[in-house]
Amino acid sequence: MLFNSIEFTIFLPVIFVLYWFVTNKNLKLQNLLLLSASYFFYAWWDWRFLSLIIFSSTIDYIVGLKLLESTDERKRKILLLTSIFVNIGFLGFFKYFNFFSESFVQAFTLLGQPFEASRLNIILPVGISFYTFQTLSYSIDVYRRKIEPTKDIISFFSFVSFFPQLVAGPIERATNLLPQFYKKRNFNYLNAVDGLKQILWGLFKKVVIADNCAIIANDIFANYASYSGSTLVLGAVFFAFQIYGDFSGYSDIAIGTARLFGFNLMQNFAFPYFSRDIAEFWRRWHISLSTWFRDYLYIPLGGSRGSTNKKIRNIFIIFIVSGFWHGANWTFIIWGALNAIYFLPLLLLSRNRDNLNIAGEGKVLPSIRETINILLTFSLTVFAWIFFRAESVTHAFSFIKHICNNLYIEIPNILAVGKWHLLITCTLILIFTTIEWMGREGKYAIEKYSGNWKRGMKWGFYYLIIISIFIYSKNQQEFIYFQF
Amino acid sequence: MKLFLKKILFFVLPLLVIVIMMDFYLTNMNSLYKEKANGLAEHANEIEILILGNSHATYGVDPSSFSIFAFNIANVGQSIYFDKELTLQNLKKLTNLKYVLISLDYHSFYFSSQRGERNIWSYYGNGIKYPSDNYKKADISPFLFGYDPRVSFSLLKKDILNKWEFRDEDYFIDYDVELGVSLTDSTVKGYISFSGTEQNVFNTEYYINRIKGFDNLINSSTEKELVLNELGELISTLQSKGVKPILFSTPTFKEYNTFLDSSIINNNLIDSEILCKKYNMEFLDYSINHDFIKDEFFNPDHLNKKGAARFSRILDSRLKLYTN
Repeated sequence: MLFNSIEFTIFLPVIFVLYWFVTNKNLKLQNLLLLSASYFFYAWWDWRFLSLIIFSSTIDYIVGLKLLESTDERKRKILLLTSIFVNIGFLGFFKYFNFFSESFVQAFTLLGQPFEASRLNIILPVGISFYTFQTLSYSIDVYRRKIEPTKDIISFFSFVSFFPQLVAGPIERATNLLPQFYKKRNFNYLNAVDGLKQILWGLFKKVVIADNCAIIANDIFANYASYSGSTLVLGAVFFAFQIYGDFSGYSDIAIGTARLFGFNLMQNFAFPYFSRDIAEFWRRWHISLSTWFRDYLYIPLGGSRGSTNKKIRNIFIIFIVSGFWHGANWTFIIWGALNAIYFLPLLLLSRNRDNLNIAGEGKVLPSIRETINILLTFSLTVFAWIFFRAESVTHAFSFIKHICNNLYIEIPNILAVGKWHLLITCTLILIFTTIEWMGREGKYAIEKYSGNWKRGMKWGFYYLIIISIFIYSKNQQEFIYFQF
Repeated sequence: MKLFLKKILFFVLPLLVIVIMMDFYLTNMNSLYKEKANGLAEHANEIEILILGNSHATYGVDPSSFSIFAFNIANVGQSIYFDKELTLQNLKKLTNLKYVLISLDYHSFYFSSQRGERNIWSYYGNGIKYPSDNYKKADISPFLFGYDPRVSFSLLKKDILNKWEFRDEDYFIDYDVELGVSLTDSTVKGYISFSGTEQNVFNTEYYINRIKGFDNLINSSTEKELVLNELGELISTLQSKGVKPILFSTPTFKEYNTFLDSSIINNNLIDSEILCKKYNMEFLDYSINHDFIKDEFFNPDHLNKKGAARFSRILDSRLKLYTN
């Protein structure tokens, strides 16, 4: 079920009413309702893959209980490895089987030993990368004795499959989300209103910004050979806004929806395009995934301690694995490696924690130095997005080659849209960026907007957002991160 | 909670009112589909020639240029399935019908369902449903699920500008026509024309991209068999009722033609030849007629008013050969 669909518009109020009016007196019943709703939400795509979530949840639930019983470290390790093996095994099979089999064939062919391997027609279950990491974090945290394993099966299964963040995050930690299922949730008016505002802003980002940019970016990436260098650069910039609007929009809707039910999810995006260096960008982009890799991969590898070689190795590992997490394609690996290259100088010069505050904090505009740094960081990010968006490595390099070979500036003439549409989209991006900039000290752009406004003005602002969502609702594209 | 629900209700109420009002407006709004369906019903017993097809026939065949009563029921993106349904559902009423001109173009054999939202728009206008489509949502709200809010608002805007005479001229059109149709024009016998020539689309880049769109549709299509069966059903039913079906194609600009995929053209010719042999009928193929000049085209594959008038006279003289 898509958040920007009519089905969800019916589903959400129904569950909301059942949750607060029918099951509100019994916590277990309320959790059971959330679990059923989550499974229903997921089954709307493909009910067959529900069995995967249930299986993963069962394994981690049992592993958690067994870890509690056991004091033998060897046995505990085996239990943890079982959880990792099952979860990563599923992920590996569904997401990476064809990639590895094709890569092996290519490698052997290059070595002069050609052979054929069969390609399986595997459908990637929606959200597998997200819930696998979420449930895995539970087993690891229990193993590390950071949390007590739960005996409440309904709460645990609800934690793994909680519908607002099931298919595209934020990837929650058991330490944050699971305890919220144990406690009675009370309806809070301000929280609910804030949740609705965040949902509204998320929808705007997705429907108005991302889906509009998608039309243009898709056309430019598909027909790059017939465009000038400046248009190709524009295409990459549109993709940067597309992926940000798409993914952070989803996160906003997820967080806002969870708030309607009395849950607090972690912030997943913190205005990453206003970052002044790549290290700051990675503290602000897909925070739940970055911190997951930091806690469960980077730090166990030694983090930034040890020799320079070890530091370099760890940075490359974490970024490449992060790239590979996004998809079974060499483009994602290059994207990850590129970000590692961007990040390394900052780490080696110990400059990676230079920008811990917010750009232009307390001011209306950033300083000239900050502006230059923001633009530079954005340009580096946009360049890396070319690899992320391209269909193949060849496609990415051809795209870049075309930029270099045809680097003249012209008024873009995009085939898929008219000049008027292009102009409107650029204006929308400008308005969007301004709103985001002005709201960058909040958890989401319009969090602190309209606080002191009169009701008429406040509602007028919300209606304006709703109308623009209405107007652009037909461009509907699936959320990019569903494929991951 | 009470306060929350009360405020939500107050907030949503104006939006609901807008949706209801827009639905009311769209349900009662005129459209090219409605206009053609109503025209067909109105002139059913006069019509001797019925013209079917997609945009090429919509803009390329002017019924007024025929010496007997012709009516153009073609529409933008209209597939052969809809041609067939429109004709067969009205066949009993078309008591004087002698000829049915069925337009066959480069891509006609390759789509049975219409592209984009046209199936729904068409359904609102003439009530014809495509078998595999679900019209439940479209029935609930034309504003949200039929025309979609963006199209709806632009239709309303056009209508308001027209009705309240904000413009200098009287505009006759208040429905879903494409850019290039003169708003001061009105449909006559189901026909509405493109006026003038869009000079900036007569270039290689445009030809390649336009044809690429068709080629993508053709190469990804799995509907050819279905379309041929639908066409066969239409032809045989017409013949059984004593009506003469004639296949035809409208002229396309000569430079544009050089970019068309010759293998697709050959396949189309083979298929149309088989059809003609099987049903003992004629295919008046004017697609590669180099006689038509740029001035007679609106764009490389659509005739304008002037071109349509001349082409229709040519068709008329061919039809006269049958009566003689």
